[in-house]
Amino acid sequence: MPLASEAAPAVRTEVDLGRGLRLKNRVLVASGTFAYADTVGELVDVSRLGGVVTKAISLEPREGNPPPRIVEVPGGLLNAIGLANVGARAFVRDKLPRLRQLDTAIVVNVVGFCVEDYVRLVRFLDEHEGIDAYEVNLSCPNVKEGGACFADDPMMTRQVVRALRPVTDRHLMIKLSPNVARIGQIARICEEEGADSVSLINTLVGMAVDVRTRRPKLANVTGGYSGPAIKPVALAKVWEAYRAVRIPIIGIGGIMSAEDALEFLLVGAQAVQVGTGTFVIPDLAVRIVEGMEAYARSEGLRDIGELVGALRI
Amino acid sequence: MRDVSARLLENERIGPRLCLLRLEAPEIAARALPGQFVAVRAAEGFFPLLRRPMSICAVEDSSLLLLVKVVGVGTRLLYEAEPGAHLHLLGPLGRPFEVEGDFEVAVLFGGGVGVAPLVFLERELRRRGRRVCTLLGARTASELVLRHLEDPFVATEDGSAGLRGTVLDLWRIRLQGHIRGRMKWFSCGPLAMLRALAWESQAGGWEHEVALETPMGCGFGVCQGCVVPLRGPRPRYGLACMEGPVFKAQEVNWDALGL
Ligand SMILES: Cc1cc2nc3c(=O)[nH]c(=O)nc-3n(C[C@H](O)[C@H](O)[C@H](O)COP(=O)(O)OP(=O)(O)OC[C@H]3O[C@@H](n4cnc5c(N)ncnc54)[C@H](O)[C@@H]3O)c2cc1C
Ligand SMILES: Cc1cc2nc3c(=O)[nH]c(=O)nc-3n(C[C@H](O)[C@H](O)[C@H](O)COP(=O)(O)O)c2cc1C
Ligand code: FES
Repeated sequence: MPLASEAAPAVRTEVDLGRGLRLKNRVLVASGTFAYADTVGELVDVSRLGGVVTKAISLEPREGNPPPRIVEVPGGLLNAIGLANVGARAFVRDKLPRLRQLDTAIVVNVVGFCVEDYVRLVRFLDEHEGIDAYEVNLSCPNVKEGGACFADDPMMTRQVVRALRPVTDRHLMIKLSPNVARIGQIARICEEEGADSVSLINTLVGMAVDVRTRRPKLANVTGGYSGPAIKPVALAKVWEAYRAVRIPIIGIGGIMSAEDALEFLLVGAQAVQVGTGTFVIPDLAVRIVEGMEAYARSEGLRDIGELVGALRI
Repeated sequence: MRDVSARLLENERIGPRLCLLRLEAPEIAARALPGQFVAVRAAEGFFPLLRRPMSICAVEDSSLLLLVKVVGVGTRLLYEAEPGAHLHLLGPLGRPFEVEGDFEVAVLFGGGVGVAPLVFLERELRRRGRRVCTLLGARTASELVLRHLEDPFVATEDGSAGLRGTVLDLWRIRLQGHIRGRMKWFSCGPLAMLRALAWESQAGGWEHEVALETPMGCGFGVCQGCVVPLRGPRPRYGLACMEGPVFKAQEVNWDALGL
């Protein structure tokens, strides 16, 4: 034991988000930005993370959208991956055995194209060990309701959470979209229907055009905007949700530093997810864990949780 | 795969839009193979945001050479970087060229800045005692990068150096029929050139590997942004940063690539 840690009492970093989701610290890596933790190799010490959220899993495998799928724009990027994933069966066969060996919480991001898809998927995954929580991705079209996005519609959001709650005893984290008028209202609906937490924000709908060819820069025409530029939007949405619900909030959007993560805690997030930042600095989430601890020590905190919602206004 | 801070030892500006960077990166140099690339942060901070993928042009002792063509903000910053600066490099990334195998002559085709990985490849093939024949194409003489290659055959679109035409013209006019022994083709360059070469090699029945460029979000397999459409019993997308950037030419679905 180094002397310094004897002098300064250790800062508590763990947090219990309820219904079995216990994190060793408040930093997770976001869905779609860490694959299945299977390609980072020696770049990231995954055991230093609070948790890993997997790429979205659907019942059937999906090849995803045609390229180009990614384009850089000021302050971030647009992506239209199209929920490419290996599908539920291959996930539990090929990915989950390795994931559950990791010394960190495993959150599986689930996606469906009708309410029944979500139910079947979670039922299926519930038969397998090693999953600490589901993050329910609602940013996809409901093909049975004319292709409207689940997340954009309070009623459809309610239907999914209501259908899922009786299906699983695991932690249900509902991922909210910023592309709505009142995110607080949607968060409250999730709480009413028994969700254990809400995570926000997913990407903002965005677009970029090549004036030379007059074509959209993404084959899918529109895509999801992520990265540093969306942080102010994300903070405002977390703040709105914080005033609307009592369940834990996981803050996401443009986090590139420990300071960014701390901002999310101050506006009410219990934990955060790091997404696009990992593309630039593979072990950014670990550096953020360390930076938050250093801040808490320098502020003389006993528990990083003291910062949650501690915004002074 | 390592994320290192590499010191820029030298920045040789070959022309107004082309430079050769020499970076001290022993951890990457020790592992790199021809065809692999590094992901470079063009600046500290987050503008521009994403890393820029750059082929490893050569490895000399503990340093890497990168050949950079200025096309936008990131490559402009690399062009302007001064010796002594530190750049973050992630690598080596991707699947290398297959230099083993049953062939007697390696034929290398490079177009424009696509020559970059071929320098490393040519050196490795020669080190292994392989016969190598290199064909280079560019728009104009000033865009040709010849110095690091051994006696390449040259074509330019404007005729300012070598044959007037493309590398494929060069192949057909100067070399086809003159090469004895079993060939394997290796190519890197603009998509139209690679596609034309892929048809040619398929018609001729020669083994052929291509190094492809696609936009990349991460470079290490986490974003699924860099897909290349592949043929096969079940058409699918392959990740250029993991399965590529080197693919078998016959495996790529050229019709679905680049509109
Ligand atoms: C595996 C691989 C190896 C490469 N090797 C070399 C090399 O050795 N030398 C060299 O000069 N260039 C190389 N490129 C292309 C190089 O990465 C781009 O020219 C560069 O990213 C452009 O960045 P920019 O900021 O100057 O341009 P901008 O147009 O401002 O870039 C905007 C965005 O588009 C992406 N982008 C633009 N052009 C390309 C392209 N052709 N391929 C992939 N992404 C692109 C950028 O990465 C960035 O995210 C390689 C690309 C790949 C995928
Ligand atoms: C390439 C990419 C793929 C993503 N895939 C998913 C996904 O499969 N499921 C999901 O819920 N969110 C997905 N997201 C959204 C992120 O998890 C995150 O909510 C968003 O990017 C905002 O955070 P950031 O600014 O830190 O990236 C993806 C984001 C990116 C950039
Ligand atoms: S560039 Fe991200 S997966 Fe290939």
